[in-house]
Amino acid sequence: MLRNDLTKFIQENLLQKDPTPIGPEDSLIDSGIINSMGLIRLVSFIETRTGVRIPDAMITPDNFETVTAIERTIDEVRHQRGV
Amino acid sequence: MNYLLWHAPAESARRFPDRPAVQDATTTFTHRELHELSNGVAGLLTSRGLTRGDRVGMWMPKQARSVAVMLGVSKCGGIYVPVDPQAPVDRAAFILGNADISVLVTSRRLLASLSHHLESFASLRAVLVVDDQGGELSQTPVPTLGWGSVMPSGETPAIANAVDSDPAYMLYTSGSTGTPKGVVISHLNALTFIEWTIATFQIRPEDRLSGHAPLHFDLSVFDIYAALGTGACVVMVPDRIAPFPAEFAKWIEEQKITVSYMVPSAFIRLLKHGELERFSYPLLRTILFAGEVFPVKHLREVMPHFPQAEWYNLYGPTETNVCTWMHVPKPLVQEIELSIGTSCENFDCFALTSDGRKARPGEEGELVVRGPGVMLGYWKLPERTAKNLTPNPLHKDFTDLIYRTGDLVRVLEDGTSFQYIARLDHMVKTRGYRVELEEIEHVLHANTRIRNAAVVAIPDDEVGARLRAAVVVEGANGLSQQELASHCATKLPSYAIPELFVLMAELPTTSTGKVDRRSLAESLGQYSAVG
Repeated sequence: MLRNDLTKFIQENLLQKDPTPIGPEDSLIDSGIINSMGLIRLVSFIETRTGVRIPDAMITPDNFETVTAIERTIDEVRHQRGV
Repeated sequence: MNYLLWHAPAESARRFPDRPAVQDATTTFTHRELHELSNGVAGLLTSRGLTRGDRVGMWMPKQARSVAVMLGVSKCGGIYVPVDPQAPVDRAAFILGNADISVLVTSRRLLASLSHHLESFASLRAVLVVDDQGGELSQTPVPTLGWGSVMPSGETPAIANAVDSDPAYMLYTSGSTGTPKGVVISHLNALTFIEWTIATFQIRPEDRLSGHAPLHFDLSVFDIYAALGTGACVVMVPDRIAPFPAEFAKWIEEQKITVSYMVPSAFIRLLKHGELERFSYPLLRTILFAGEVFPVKHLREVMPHFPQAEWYNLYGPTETNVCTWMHVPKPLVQEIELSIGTSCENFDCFALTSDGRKARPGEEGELVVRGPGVMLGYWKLPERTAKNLTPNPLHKDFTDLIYRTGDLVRVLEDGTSFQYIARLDHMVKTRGYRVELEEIEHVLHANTRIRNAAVVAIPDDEVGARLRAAVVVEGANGLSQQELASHCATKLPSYAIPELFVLMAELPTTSTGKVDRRSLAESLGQYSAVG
């Protein structure tokens, strides 16, 4: 399931100092989990995992705020592309 | 007389009291407010026993209050030590312990993650929590105060006998022994650079400088002090926006930024993912870049997006801040080899050949720097300091120290500008940060399941260098990419984690038995780019 994979990826790759589990509605940005390097890794993971390329204009703080928001963004891109 | 870091900002508070001085996502301080707030910080620190030369650790998210803390520490003669708020807790704790801090300024979240380490800081007398509005919060294990304890004041506490050769701040960079080392910068060192930038780039009260670099990275010294020294405003890029290139491009337009100083990889991200054409930047007049080589092909592509801007390439290690510069010609032709330019005013840069004489035009040598901009030394590392700050072989009749950059350069035909060639040792730049390959190897070796490891840097147009590791694992069960990356993440900042780990049965060796880095770089370079 995509949500679990996203959470697992973030947990294992982007959380450096804070071992507490992240929930689907936890902010990934205000907590500093997504920084420039983290964002690059995350976008590349999403593309590999789902085959969906997220357009640059959609890589915004709102669309990457939480795991739920990221899922919604991926769905939106899929929907736009009709895949 | 303006000879300490806080003098010119205090003068701005008199001359431009109501102009904005520093702005973050939620707060703006005028020059007068900043002056009075930093007096309050100084008063609080003094009342807690901070005296001249004591260190104040700053492990906190970058914000307008950070600047009040920096000035406040300077006003009571202290030395501030900014630490990457994204650093793993072990790394931050090492730096704060090594600096032997008397006061820690931090946030609630970071303080909680550091709680197990506090008692190991022998000199720690107080903690100031910037995002807590309270007064005295607790007494154990050390007195902990909220920002409500800071009482703004028109009076600056007086410190006796402060001189411009006193240390003002320390910045920690990667160390070859596997641990970071503190570069000690004096007021004079910093002001030599700051005053040069203000004069050269004609920073004015109307300017709005983007604050992009984190506080532990010396690009931020320009953003903050060039603004505060002239009545201008430093506008901090919010953490919420900085990672998102398209959002950041819009922010530059909306915030009416006039001067911007970033590493080339930040500009390249803007170019590749920022959709720069959607916005316009008519007010952005001066763009400075430093920290790594800017590939001409990307620079040519990004420059037309900012038609009003003049571009400058600045060069210098943390130990000298910036020491050479060049004005990038417009239009930039593909054939040009971008040089690092000539010495900044009040810096004397030249190249020494391997036999110890001054390199002539066309010759190569190690770039060395002399002048008041050169650091005082490395914190508590006299041997390392003596290795890098050495007597000038050209002036044997009196004491004259030079800083050896470890960078190999070629002297150009004009005799005064330099072409950067390579690091003489294994320090590399990736995404604008300096990384020592040995430090990463040291961390890998610390894992009991890893038998051997070597890290190589693959030169890359976009990020400077891509770090890749060859790893030999004990036993039959391998380690996954994620396990290896997670292991590195416990000790290293994210930019120093190799993007790829290749498991090998053995590392290739040269005829002398040393790891054959050249052949490793060739084989690891064949994998396609990650991220």
